[in-house]
Amino acid sequence: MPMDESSVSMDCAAFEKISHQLYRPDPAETSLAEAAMAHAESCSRCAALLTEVEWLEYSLLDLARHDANSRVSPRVESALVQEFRRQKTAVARRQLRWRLAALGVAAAFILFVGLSFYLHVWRLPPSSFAPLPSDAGAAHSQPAPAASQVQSSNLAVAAAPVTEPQSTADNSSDTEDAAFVPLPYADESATDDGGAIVRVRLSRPELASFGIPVDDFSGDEQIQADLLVGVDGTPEAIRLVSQLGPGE
Amino acid sequence: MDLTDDGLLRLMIAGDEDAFTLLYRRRHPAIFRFALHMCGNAAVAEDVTQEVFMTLIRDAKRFDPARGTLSAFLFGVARNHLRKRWEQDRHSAPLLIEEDDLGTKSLAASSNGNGNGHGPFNDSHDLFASLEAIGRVRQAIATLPENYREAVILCELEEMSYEEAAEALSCPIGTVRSRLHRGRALLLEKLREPRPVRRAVVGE
Repeated sequence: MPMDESSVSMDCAAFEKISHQLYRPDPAETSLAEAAMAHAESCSRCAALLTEVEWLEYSLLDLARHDANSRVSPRVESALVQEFRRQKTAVARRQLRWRLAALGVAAAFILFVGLSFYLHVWRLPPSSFAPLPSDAGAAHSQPAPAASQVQSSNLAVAAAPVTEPQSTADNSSDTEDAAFVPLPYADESATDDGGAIVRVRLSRPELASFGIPVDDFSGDEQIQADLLVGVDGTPEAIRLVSQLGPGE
Repeated sequence: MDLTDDGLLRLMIAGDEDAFTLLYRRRHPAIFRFALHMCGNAAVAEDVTQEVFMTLIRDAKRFDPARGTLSAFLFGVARNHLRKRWEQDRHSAPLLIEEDDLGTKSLAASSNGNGNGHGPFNDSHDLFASLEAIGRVRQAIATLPENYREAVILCELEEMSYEEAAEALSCPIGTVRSRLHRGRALLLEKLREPRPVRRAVVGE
């Protein structure tokens, strides 16, 4: 606290209180220090104390100067440098381990994402990726998973999206739509969300089971037909391929 | 290249050995002197100094520049290690300083051992210059209570400001001032006492 010299009253008790701060002056206490010095000139007891404080100050300075060059033995420095190198290697090794672990996690994540994507795509309705092959040979070699529920042991199937027109049948889509005969249990809404046309070979009794009128059940002839299969894999409608025009 | 303590520490953390060596050479003498004055044993002070810098190597990120200077941080670590030492081995608590440790003759070793109260202030010219006086002051500092001793060592021997000492001691500036005042008063009292007679060394 700054004080005006004239307002500072200094007695022996106050002098003793600040005596050790006289050699470490605080700018805010300059007037106090000056008052203390003035008091010491008029008081022998405080003058003696001031001498002791002075002596202590110089002794401490002397001690500090004497010890200024104290040094630790060089072996400490070499031990520390060794430790620094060891630590540096350990840190580098730890970082490498972390990087490898991170790489492993990233690889596992990518594998997981890839696998999920693959499974997701695999499970999509066939309408999203499998066009109907134009020739019957291709139909024999490409079974459609969505048609797996069709109860026929001797089927050769091919799937095609209901929503996408077949490339070879662009001109006769009206004819095709007309050719499909809904099956007795058909649910029309089942094909609204997608579905597939599955080409199959059916015996006459199997045709009859779909509600197609059949005259003669005795022949072993296989008749090619298209089944309109809903998203749940249930056949919804049927048409005979022989009824279609050439190239369809 | 940033040659401040903080800059060197950053380089050190990045693995720069030269930065560590420079930092060690710059800061270890003060830490060693502090430990030596605190414990009065050069071997222990050396161990403590080594431990302080080991801590810096292993856990440099503990230092937060926002909380103070690196120097204050190192003094804080040194205090902790000294306290651990004293906890582990109470027998090594600082009391008497061996002359070999300090590299100077103690008062008793160099005096004629009359111990008749030839006060330190009667012949100040001799005292200022003599190793005897240094030995006495050193001995007196070593016997101060720990809190006062820390304040005296940091502010008087290491010439730290009150602010720096407060950072190093993790206490308010006012506390440092009062501890220093009390420590100096105690030092004077101890130095007024008659010189001790150490018969074991008399006649050496």
